[in-house]
This record gives sequence, structure tokens and C-alpha cells, in this order.
Amino acid sequence: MAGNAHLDAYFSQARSDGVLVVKDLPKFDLDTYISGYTGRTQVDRLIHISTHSPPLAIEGLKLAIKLLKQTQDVPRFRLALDILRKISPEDAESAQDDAWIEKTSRKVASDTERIEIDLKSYKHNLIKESIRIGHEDLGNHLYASGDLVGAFKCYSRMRDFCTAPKHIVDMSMQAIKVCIEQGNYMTVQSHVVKIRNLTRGPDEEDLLRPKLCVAMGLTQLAAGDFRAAARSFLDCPPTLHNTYNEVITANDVATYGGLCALASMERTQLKTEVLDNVEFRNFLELEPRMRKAISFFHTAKYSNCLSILEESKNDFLLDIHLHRHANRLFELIRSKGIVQYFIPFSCVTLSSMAQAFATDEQTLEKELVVMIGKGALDARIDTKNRLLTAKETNLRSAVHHETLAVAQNYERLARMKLMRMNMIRAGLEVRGSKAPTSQVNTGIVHGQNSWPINLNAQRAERNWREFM
Amino acid sequence: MDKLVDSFLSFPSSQNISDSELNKQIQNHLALLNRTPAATLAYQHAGGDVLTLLDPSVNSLAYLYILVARIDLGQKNTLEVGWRQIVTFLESFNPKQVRCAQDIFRRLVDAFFSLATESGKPIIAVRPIKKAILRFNPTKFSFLHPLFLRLCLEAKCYRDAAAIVDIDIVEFPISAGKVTENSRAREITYQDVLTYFLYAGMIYMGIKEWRRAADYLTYAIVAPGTACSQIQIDAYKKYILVGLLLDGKSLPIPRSTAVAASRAYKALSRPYESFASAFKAGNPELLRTEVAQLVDVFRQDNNTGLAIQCLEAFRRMQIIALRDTYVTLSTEEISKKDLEVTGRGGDIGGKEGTEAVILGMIEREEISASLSHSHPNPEQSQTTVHFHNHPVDESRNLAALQVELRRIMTLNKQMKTINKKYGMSREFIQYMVKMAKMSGNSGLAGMAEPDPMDFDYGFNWPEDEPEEAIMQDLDDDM
Repeated sequence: MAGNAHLDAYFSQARSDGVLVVKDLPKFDLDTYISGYTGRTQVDRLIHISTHSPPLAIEGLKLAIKLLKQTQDVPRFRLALDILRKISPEDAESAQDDAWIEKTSRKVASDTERIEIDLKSYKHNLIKESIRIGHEDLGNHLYASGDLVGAFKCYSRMRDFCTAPKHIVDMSMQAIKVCIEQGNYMTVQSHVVKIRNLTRGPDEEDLLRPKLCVAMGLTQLAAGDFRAAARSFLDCPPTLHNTYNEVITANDVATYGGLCALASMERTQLKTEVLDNVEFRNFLELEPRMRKAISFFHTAKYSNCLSILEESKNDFLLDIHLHRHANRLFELIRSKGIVQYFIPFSCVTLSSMAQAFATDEQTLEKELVVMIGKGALDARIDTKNRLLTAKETNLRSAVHHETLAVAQNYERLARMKLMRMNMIRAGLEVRGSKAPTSQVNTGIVHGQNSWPINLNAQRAERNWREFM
Repeated sequence: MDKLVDSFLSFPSSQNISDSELNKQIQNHLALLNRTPAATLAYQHAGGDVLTLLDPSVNSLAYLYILVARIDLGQKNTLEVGWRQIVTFLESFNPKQVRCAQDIFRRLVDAFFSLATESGKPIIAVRPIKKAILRFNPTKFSFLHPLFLRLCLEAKCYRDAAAIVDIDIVEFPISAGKVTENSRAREITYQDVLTYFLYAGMIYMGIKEWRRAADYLTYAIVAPGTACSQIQIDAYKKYILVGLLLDGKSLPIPRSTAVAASRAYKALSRPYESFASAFKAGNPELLRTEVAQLVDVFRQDNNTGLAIQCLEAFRRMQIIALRDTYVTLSTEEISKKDLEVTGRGGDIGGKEGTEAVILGMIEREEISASLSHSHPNPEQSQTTVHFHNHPVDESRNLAALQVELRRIMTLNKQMKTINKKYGMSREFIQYMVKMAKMSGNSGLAGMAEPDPMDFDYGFNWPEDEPEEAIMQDLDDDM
């Protein structure tokens, strides 16, 4: 197949550019997966998958193009088409659809103009509510036609014309959505905080809380703060359902939350805060594999847990939010597994350990050396007998040692201070060759025999201040 | 002349008189000696040397004046002839008397010192000066201290010097402002003190006592003041290298360091910092490139020896670090880590070389480990290092604790005397009176004496507070 050559060329180029390429097929079915989402994120995810997974690239792009044709997002349509043309130039669908592009661009331009004129007239009339709606319309229009920066500006301008808390909430939610897509998580966080500080009715609260939780979770995930992210996702009420599909599905909440929890929590915490969490259970039921992995980890069957995760790793790597953190999360889960595995032992053979973690001894040894070096694992390796032994600590001698160190440090510090104090007292300060501006110092440098008494007194007094 | 000798002999009137009486006599005696021209003093008596009549431990002042007069008038050979007498004097003089004639004494010592160095045999002066220091109060800094250490460094008599530097200085002569009897004496300057600390650090480096060396260098580094001396910079550079030898990482700049000084350290010792961070990173390749760039810097600063010791220590420290990760490891694995950075070539980086290094470390008790060969034939044998657990050396720890306890108790005593002395000093009492006034009617006092210095320092001092508090604790504890 001729298309394959281009495909390979594209991805080997990508790989050399440092882009992650996932060779094997993920577990999910592309159509089902993508139908879980709505709005822009559908296309974003499709493009993400297409640029990272060779087997799904063509299918994904075609799907994206099909979806894009129903929108008015010209820039992204061009982007998707460009990639498709690079990957399989012979494909009939990769032909430039100039007619559509032209028609849509013209439509977008005229709509923009129309809405801007509307907005201007609202501004003349000085009706706050109309101006706000005008901005919002423009924002929505720009958002739909792919101008995220412009859209965000419009949403931000709404701020001055908000009269009710509801308006602020609306505005912030729009901004959050745009920012998540832009990857601008700092702003997401500030908007989330802004909404949380507002007073809301219980109905609104029910609707908003899940969204805010996941937005916060995504922010923390992006910042690499897995513990906080886990908390946020775990706190998310099950009322999320499909209400926020333009950003995240309930399945995603289960996956993100589960992985973050695995990477950052102790076994008992996993039990109490994840598996026994009534609200989060609703999410976990959507992702049975994740639930299994967590319960395996809790029951100390680390190899099962890791193999389940390993199976789904491609899914994670193709996820638009997770792919950057998947490897780090896996590493954390693994090393945490090793630490937990080793707790009850004083001595384990490397071979049995390698079995439990489904690797060979060499890789395991390297991993262990790194972990010990970082201080994550309190053990030593016996390379001759192929053993991992726990460090024996002798508390008594450790305390003696500590005491000695403290005492010596104490003496040293006191002596140092004393020396310094005595030097000041004896007038042995280090002085520059040029007399500094201060009057006191001039006295010391020049007037050894003739300095006035009051200078002497001043100097002495200053010294006292330093001592006390 | 005979009359003069009689009067020399009649002083002091008796061995056990009160201090004030003695002081009075010393003053009279000094007046007499200062009046007498040098020629008369240096005059060689026909019947025999005047000095043979005098006892240096009793008639110290006369003895001293005569010696100095002879040196002043005579040529070099006089000094050589009088060598024996000078040595006897230095070893047996009476400190109470000599203290009142510091400047004359210093002239004697300077002459003695220059003779010893110029003759190329500094070692001959080490012992007499050491005894002289010990005759005075060795915890009080004197001009002899830096001179002596310089002598020892030149003569490489580190052990002799260590006997002196082991004694911590707790007192400095009040240098400025105090008009005393010997105001003509050259004053101790801060350079003297800083050099002393630097030399003391170097003495300890010579006997590889890195901890004490670092302590002395710290004193130089934290010296108070508004500027930074080159001596301090040198001390800081050495301090970094000593830190590496001591801990494997550069020691921090102490908190009470003067601002100007710490800024200067940071600016002027950058190459050393980067060397230290390469050392700490434990990456031999990185360290090698650093060293290649820094050879000239080290040579310029005369720190090459110290740097080489650091490089030698690097491998040892890395091997010690392995103890935390491994129970057993073959020497082959260790040599593969390529820890040899001294660049001497040869076989020392190889398997056998590594084994030899480890063997040496075990013998010096740097690590607690054992080596075992897998096969009697050295050709096929694989050597394995077995790192033992951290040894339980309780008795040693306890002994060290005892020593430390005693040291702190001494320190505490010294601290109490100093506290008392300073508490009774005029300046302190004035300060307290003023403070009392200020707090009594602060508004009035503040307006009457608008002294900007007060406010300035008043705001400055709290940054040092936590450490100062420790010192007060010390008083409370015991």
C-alpha cells in the first residue's frame, strides 16, 4: 500500500521530533469513544489520536474532517486536511475542498461583521444586559469558528457588564471551557476559585459542583499534583453524568481519578477513599478495569494491577489530558507498589520480586538502585546472592549519633558566635580601605588617637545592640 | 653599671608580693629601664656577662631590655651568639612582667623570628615560641599567634601548631580606643586575626582534621565588618574544598556572615562552587570536565593540593555511598562505575586498583566491609565487597559524647566569665541606662536625641536572634 509509506514517514518524523507515538491499537473503539464527547473536544481528541497513533490516524482524521464539515471551524479543517494529505496523499477525501472552505470563510466573516455591528449598536444604547449578550454572542461565534483567543477575549469583556452572580458564573464557565482547550490552566484555576466564592442556590450548586471539581482536577493534573487531582476527582458528585461532555465524560473522571489515586495514595487510603467512596463508585462502575486495578493494588496483587494498567496504557497515552502524565503516573504507581510489596519482608530474592512485578531481574535491579538512591526504598541490594534486604536500623546508636551531632553543632555555633562577638568587642571588624559613609566607621579608621569620646560611646553602644 | 645591675637584681623586691605592689614596682622599674641608654644596657661587662647574673624567670624585664639593646646595637652575629639566651628567656620569662613591655618583647620576637626564617631553619624557632605562647594566657589572642602558625606552616610542624590551635581563643586584646600603658605597642589588627584563622585552618588541613579546619575557616568567614578582606575570600575558597572532603558537599555560608562578605564570596568563588556541585552530583564525567577547566584556578590560588585530595576522596566517598544501596557488589561492578578522577592513569582505575582502594579504606576504618574471592586462582577470581551494616560503636559514641560534654562545660565557664566582664563594662552600663531612659519616657528621649544609628541598628539585629537565643539557653541549662 502506497499510503503506508507516507504514514511511516510522517510518524518517524514525529518520533524524531520527540512526539510520543503509540504503535499498537488501544483498547477502545474509536467511534464509541468519540461519540461520548460533544463539541470541539471531539475534534481535538480525534486530531490528538491521529497524530499519535499510526493505525488510527487515517480513520481518525476522516472522522474529524466529517465532523468539521458540519461546523464553521476553517483553521482546524485546514489543519486536519493537511495532516491527512501528508499521511495518505492518494486518498480521495484528502482533496482540498476549496468550495467549502470559501463558502464557510465567507459566512464566518459576514457573521462576525454582523455580530460586531450589533454589539456596537448595543454599546450606543448603553444597556448593560444587551452589551453582555452581544459580547457573549461574539464569543460563541468566534469559538465556533476556531478563534479561541478572540473568544476568550470576548468572554473576559463580559465581566464588566455582569449584573447578577448568575452572569458571572456563566461567563466564568465559558472562560473555563476555552482555557481548558487552550491548555491555559492558570486561568482555569482562578475562574474556578471565582465561582466557588459566589453564593449560589442549591439547584445551581448541583449543576456546577461536578463541573468545578473536574475543572480543578484537570488543572491539578496538568500541574503534576496528582494527590490534589485525585482528591478533586474523588470529590466529584455522580450528578456529572453527561452534563460536561464538551470537556470530559464520566468515564474519564473514573480513569483520571483512579490513576491519580493509585499514584498518590496508600493502600488503606485507596480502600477508604476510593473503593468505599459511595459517590465515586458510580464512576468506577463505568470503568470496571480501573476498579479492578485499584482493588488488586489494595489486595497487594501488584502484578495483576500493573498488567491491567499496562493493557490500558495505550488508551491513556492517546488521551488528550493524560498522555503527558501517563508515564510519570505509571512510574509512581510502580515504585509505590515496590515499596508496599517490600514492607512485610526483611529479605526478598530479586527473582521472586521480578516475577511479582513482571519484569526481569536486571531492569528491576536498575529500578531499585534508582529508588534507593532517591530514598524511596529503605533497603539494600545483595548482588551476589540476588537478594533485596531491608536496612537494619539500630535506634540506640542512631540516637547517640544524633545527640553527638547536635552537641557538636551547638558548640561550634556558640564558639563561632562568641568569636564574632569578641572580635567586635575588640574593634577588629573588617573594614574597607575607603571609609564607608557612616560616621561611626570614619571615626575608627582615621581617629585612632584623637576621636571624640561620643564616637567611641556610639560605637560601643552599637556593638551592644549586636550582642544582645 | 654595677649599680644598675644591683637595681636589676633588687627587682622585684620579693617573690610573693601583692599584684598592686608588683605593678607599682614594675612601673618604676620600667621607667628606669627606659631612661637607661641602649649602649649602657648592651655593655659587655668585663667580669662576665650581665645576663649570667640575672635570672630570666625573675628579672625578666631587665633581661629582655638587655637582649633587645644588644640586638639593636649589634649585628647579626650578636643574635647568633645570644641565641641560647633568647631561647632560655622565651622559655622561662615571667609573663606578668613582660606583659607590661609588649612592644620591646615584640621586637625581640621579630628579630628572633626573622633570624630563624632567614637562616632557612624555621623549625628551630618553633619550640621556644610555642612555650612563650603557653606562658601567656593561651586563650587570649596575641601577636605571637599568627607568627607562630606561619612559622609552623613553613617548618611543616603541624603537630606542634595543633597543640596551640586546639586551644580556642576566647579573648582578644582591646585594640582600639583603650589607652593603656603599652599604647606604643603595635596594635593587633583584624588582618592578624584573620590570618591566624586561615593559618589555623591550614594547619588542620595539614593533619587532615577537616572538621576543625572548617571551624577555623568559619571564624574567618563570619568575621564581622563592613567590607570583605582577601584573606576571607581565600578562607572561603578553602572552606568549600574542605567541606567536600568532610561531607561530600560544600558547606553553607553561615548565617551571621556580614552582607558585604557573603556577596563577595558568591561573586569571587564561582569556579569553586561549580566544582563542588559537580563533586556532589557524583558524576565522574562531569567532574573531570570541571577539573580540566579549573586546573589553572586552583594553581593560582595555591589550592592544587587540596583539590587533588578532593579528587582522591571522590572515589572513596562514592564507594562509601554504595554502602547505602548494596549489601554485596563485585569490585568489577565498582570499577565499571569509573570513579577514578585524579587522572593519574595506570591501573588504579581498574579492578585491582579499586580493590586496593577498598582494602585501604577498610584498614583505615572508613567503611566497614569485607572482601572475598570466589576462586583461589586470582586469574578467575571475582572479588566481592560485602558491606556490613552500620557498625554499632556504642562505646566510641559514648566516649565522644563525654568529650563533647566536657568541651561544652568549658565553653560555658568561659561564657560566664565573658558575660560577667561585659556586663560590668562601662559601655554596657551606659547602654542600659540609656535604654532605661528610652523606655521610661520614650517620647521625650527620642526627641531629645534624634540618633539615626539607634533606629538603624534597632531594626537590624533581629535577624540574628534565633542563634543568639541558643547562647542564652546555654547559660540556663547548666
